Amino acid sequence: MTAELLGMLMIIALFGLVMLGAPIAFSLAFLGLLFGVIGIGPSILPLFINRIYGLMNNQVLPAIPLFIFMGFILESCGVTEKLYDSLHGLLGPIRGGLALATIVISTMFAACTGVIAASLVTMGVIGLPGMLKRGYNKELATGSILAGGTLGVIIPPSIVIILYGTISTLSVAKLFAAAMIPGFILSAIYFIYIIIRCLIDPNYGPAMSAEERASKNTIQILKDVFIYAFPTILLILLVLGSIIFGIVAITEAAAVGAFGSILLAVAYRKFSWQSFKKAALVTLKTTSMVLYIAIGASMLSVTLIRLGGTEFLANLIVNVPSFVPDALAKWFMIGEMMFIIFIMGMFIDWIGILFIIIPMFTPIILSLGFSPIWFAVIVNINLQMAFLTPPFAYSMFFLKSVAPKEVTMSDIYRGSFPFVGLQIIGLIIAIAVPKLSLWLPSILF
Amino acid sequence: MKALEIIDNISRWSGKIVMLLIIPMILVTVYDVTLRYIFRSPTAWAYEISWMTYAAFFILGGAYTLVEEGHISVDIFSRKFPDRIQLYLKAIFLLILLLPFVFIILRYAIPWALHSTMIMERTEHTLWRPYSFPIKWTLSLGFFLLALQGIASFIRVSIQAIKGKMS
Repeated sequence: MTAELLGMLMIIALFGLVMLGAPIAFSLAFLGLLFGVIGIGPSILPLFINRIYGLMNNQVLPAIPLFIFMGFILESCGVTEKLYDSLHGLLGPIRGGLALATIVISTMFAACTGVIAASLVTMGVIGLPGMLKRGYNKELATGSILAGGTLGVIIPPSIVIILYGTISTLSVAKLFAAAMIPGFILSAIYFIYIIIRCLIDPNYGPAMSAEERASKNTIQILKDVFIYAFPTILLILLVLGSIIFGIVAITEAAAVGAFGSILLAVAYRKFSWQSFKKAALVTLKTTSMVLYIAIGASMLSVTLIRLGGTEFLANLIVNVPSFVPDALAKWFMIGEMMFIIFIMGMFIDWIGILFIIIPMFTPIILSLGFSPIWFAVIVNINLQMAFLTPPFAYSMFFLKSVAPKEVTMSDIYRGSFPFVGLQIIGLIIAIAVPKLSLWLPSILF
Repeated sequence: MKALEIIDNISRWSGKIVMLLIIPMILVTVYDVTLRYIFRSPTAWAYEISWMTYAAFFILGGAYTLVEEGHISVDIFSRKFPDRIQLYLKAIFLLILLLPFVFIILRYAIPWALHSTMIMERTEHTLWRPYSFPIKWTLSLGFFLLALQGIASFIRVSIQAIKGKMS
């Protein structure tokens, strides 16, 4: 049996195990070990220790727990609830106003924290019942929460981007800068879609009733926005600004951000030992979950590279079928790569995908003369869909776990479809106009 | 089973202790940044302490994450299987995926940490150059806790599978 074949067999076994419900981290690690020993021999085993130590002894990765912690502490301040109320007051008179408020708050929260779970769960708890109560279409309600929640994948400080930078050895600060504009464009696309959808069919998101509008006090609303939005936005700008302008390293900015979030919590009188403990424990669980998958994925990727599996797959991509004209060949290859990521996203999680595809695709991208920074951005936009495409769709599990009983899994599936469509549009825009990704890094670095 | 409960409690407590590492992780770096930007005299040790606390945090958190069922999996198909089959699958995954993985890593991580201790190895990043063996032993400690919890979870799930009921 050839080594490449073993590599392919390993990937197939991975899909099989994951579909049977095996824990992702241990499936990756075990298959890396098993196929490594069969295909290469026990000499590969010390390499795994090196890989694990590489994930420990790392300059950038400490930012992951810090950003996660910052997100959970800000979450515990109740800022989201307050802002949601305020934005409801402001946008309520418009059709689909609550869905629009969901997108705005999710965008802001995407910029506070690297993980999608925090904002998704809050919006599911406070946003979803509010929308259903006011007669919003279930699909629009769940879709806007799902799409808003996954913005955390692309809008900095995304932990997906931090890990991408670590694996590809690209500068995380540059990647953050590159992802900024495409991230906000996606958010704008969702916003416009909701407005148009509700214009076409008012039943999708009825505007606030006259009585309810009369009960809102505009001055109070503006005051709430100032008290709750302003300090949070300031903290985010401080953290992201100092990274993008290169004033401090990512990890330093993350630590200062986490510290700042505690100060904010104290100022809002929401800080207690209980809330600290809760945030620290969730952070521990999330960080270990992510990094144990990273351990498994890096073990699998060492084996795949050693077996020649990455080269084998890369050759498949580079051998463009003859019906494609030469001028389009390189775009055809981009299309193939995006398709592979999309399909993988249905079955395994983003960490596994990154460890498998970065070593495989980066040489192709460089030889075709594309910018690796731009490629990183389009991969990240693509990975957002991984959170929304079943059977393996993180975001849907999270939302289902907090949604009211009348919302079924199929409501959530159907809710996500139009937004996956919008993400494909966003992906195509980002592919067609590389400047959207490359302009900001070019003026900053 | 008393022993299983004791192991569960060890894992839960390890989480409650390890979570405290987030405090030095934040404070050490904030202290360093403050000194650097306000007093123009950065510390020699903050960088090393920062990555070491982070590394200990996630490695030692593995057992806690296991006992709290935080290592994610895709259950949309397996959820539809009969309870008993689900339990057998769970037990098999722990036995054939997790346990060989942690034992093989331990088999290589312990001599690796031991060697580092014997030669009193130091890190190379900064002028401070702390010993690197404590963090290397942390890897073994984390995987030891994970192995312990893995065995306990395996025994519990197996008993449930044989008796044929979910806990």
